[in-house]
Amino acid sequence: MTEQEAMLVTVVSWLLFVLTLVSWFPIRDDRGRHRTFPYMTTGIVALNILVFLLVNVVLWLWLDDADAWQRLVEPFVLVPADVVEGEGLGAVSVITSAFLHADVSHIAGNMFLLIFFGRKLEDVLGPAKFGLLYLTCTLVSGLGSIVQEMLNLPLTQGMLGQVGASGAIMGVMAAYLFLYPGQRIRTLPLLSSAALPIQLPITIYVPIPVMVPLPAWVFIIHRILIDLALGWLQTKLQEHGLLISNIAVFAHLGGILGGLTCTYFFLPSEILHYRHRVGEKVD
Amino acid sequence: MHGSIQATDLLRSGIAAAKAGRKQEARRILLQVTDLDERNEQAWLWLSGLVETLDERRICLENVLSINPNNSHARQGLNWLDEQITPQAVSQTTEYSEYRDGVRGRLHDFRGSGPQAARPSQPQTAHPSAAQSSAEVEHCPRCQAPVPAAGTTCPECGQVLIVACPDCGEYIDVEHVTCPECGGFLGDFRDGARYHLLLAKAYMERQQFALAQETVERAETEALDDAEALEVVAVMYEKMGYTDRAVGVYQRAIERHPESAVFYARLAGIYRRRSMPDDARAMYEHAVKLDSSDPAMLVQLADLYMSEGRVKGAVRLLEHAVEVEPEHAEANVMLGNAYMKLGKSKQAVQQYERTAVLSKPMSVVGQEVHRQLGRLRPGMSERHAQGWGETFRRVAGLMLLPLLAAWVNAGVVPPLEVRPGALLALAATLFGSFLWAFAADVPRNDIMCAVFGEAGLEKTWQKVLVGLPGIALWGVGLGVILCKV
Repeated sequence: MTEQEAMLVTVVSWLLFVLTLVSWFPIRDDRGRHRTFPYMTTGIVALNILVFLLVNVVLWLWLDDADAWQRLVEPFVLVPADVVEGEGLGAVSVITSAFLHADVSHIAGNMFLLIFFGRKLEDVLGPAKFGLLYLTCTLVSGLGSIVQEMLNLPLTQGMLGQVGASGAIMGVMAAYLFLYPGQRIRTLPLLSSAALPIQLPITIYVPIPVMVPLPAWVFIIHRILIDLALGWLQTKLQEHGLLISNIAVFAHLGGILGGLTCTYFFLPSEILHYRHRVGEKVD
Repeated sequence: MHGSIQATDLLRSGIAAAKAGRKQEARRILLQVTDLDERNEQAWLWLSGLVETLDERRICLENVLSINPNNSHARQGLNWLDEQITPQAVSQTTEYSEYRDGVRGRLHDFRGSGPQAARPSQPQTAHPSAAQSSAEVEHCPRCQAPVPAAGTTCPECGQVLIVACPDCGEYIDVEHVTCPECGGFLGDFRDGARYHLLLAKAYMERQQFALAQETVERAETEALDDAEALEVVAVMYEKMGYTDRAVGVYQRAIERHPESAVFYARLAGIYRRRSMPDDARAMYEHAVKLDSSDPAMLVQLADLYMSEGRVKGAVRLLEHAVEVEPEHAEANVMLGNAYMKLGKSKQAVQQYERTAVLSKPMSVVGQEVHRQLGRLRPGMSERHAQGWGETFRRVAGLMLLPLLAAWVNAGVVPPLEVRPGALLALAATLFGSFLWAFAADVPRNDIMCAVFGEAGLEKTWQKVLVGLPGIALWGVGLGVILCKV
């Protein structure tokens, strides 16, 4: 690594430290009420929790053997190398891996964000279109993950299995941003152990008891910056034989791209129409 | 019926006169009541306290008992009258000792039941004077000054000694927290103005306006340093239509509590209703200067500004109101109106959309918002809403999932290996997507109009006929792709 590269890595590492030091936990926005019960959001959340309990608790206790458990679960995990080689379940594994989670903090964080943003989006799109958008974002985020693994990460070379709904949820958040970019979201800042140089078994969050009204775009941009910085560091350091994180940041970025694109295709025509026309003077 | 109403009104006047100490007038009125309705129990009971002689009093009380043999007040009054008979008088009749013993026995029963027996019949009786002579002395519960038993207010501190229960109408001792007759809650007289206001509200609810007015007046005299009570007094005057009195109360309240913004705002409201905009504005501005965190006051001043054409000033106030309370529907809709007046349609729509979420659709604000949004958002043209552009957008949305699935199964990176089955399945999903989109989103597309007539897919069965096979085809196609056939 040249001196310039090392300097850049240091700067990006510090930037990442600053960005991840505080996590923003959305509490509420002014769009407080939703008009119908969010069946699809609730259904997806319930399915995620059910799968988590089944796989991480019931199956684990029942089999009582790590190897047997892994053999049973592995086909449903997204392994980019397998997908590229046409092995395994392919697109099905992209979808099923989005319903698997590593631990409690992983599923809890994802599901909270899904409930917060999902029901607002479902209000606008309706349950069927929201479900389609969620699945589409899952596939786009899976694609992002595969592209990153195959093209950018020489060390893992796509052999690392990936689980979690975060890519799809980033898509839902991006769709919210598309609809309400200026919407203020009251967030609770949390000091996060993810910023620490040491790896803890689970991420610990310490809340700072202050409500900060963040515009939606700041919320999303913060997330994108973290993913970009971490993605760049992952790629750069893997070139030099260092594995710093197994977070699928390109899955997040893919999800955001998918969310923004899908919203355009799924939005009711009136809403799209008015988005362009409200600036015009009518009188 | 008419006579009964008249008797009731007269009875109320008579009781008021009695309480005010106008005994002659009260007696005259109550006699009129008994002329109109000779079986009016209350009239006879009150009259018993106003007549001149003990014999007359006895007649009144006996009349009460003949109407209602269970009237405990009358019975106690008669007992008391019996006790007033002197030994000489009894000896003249006969059997004095027997009578005296009986009287003593009753006297013992009457006064020996604890501290409350100090005013034997007063707590229950509609008229303490009915059963006791004017010579008997009681004490004011507030200042402990001696008051005549027949008195209705304390001559020293002005404390009211009896009040009418709002529920049963019975006059009872002010010291009672609950009505001994009906159990209704009255409150604690030591609360002063608030006690009277509580009663006044109860009278108002039961449409006993004369009593309510009288009680509010009492509250006013006792609420000099209680800003909150003064506000309620003035509001009640406003409700009763005594706006001048309300103004007087607000003005006095401002003198005593010049830092309280609410009085200025309320006074401004009255001035505005009286078409005195300059005074109203001055008051509102002063109120807002004192407390700029009350969105209701900000909205009222902004409304005044808007009516005077000072739109920018109104916008400043309303923006502040929305900042203070983002969910204040009225502030949001007014801000939308103000933006419209300034030609800022985009901001206006944002405000209206916000208000549409905050307010109920059938409320006044909700209807206003939807009307304004309807004006700002003219309907889409048919070509725009049902044309091919919209159709392709819808179909593209439905095709994203099968296309992405096919791409993933083809290996993501070149060289892509697309199986023939997947290609066929993609064609099926494309056809299915068109049918689905026609049924769900663009039922008046050209093709649908050509097949089903000008209205396109108007009826539900038509939508099901087209949409269901479309969804099925789309689902089967996606399944085939996912299964890597």
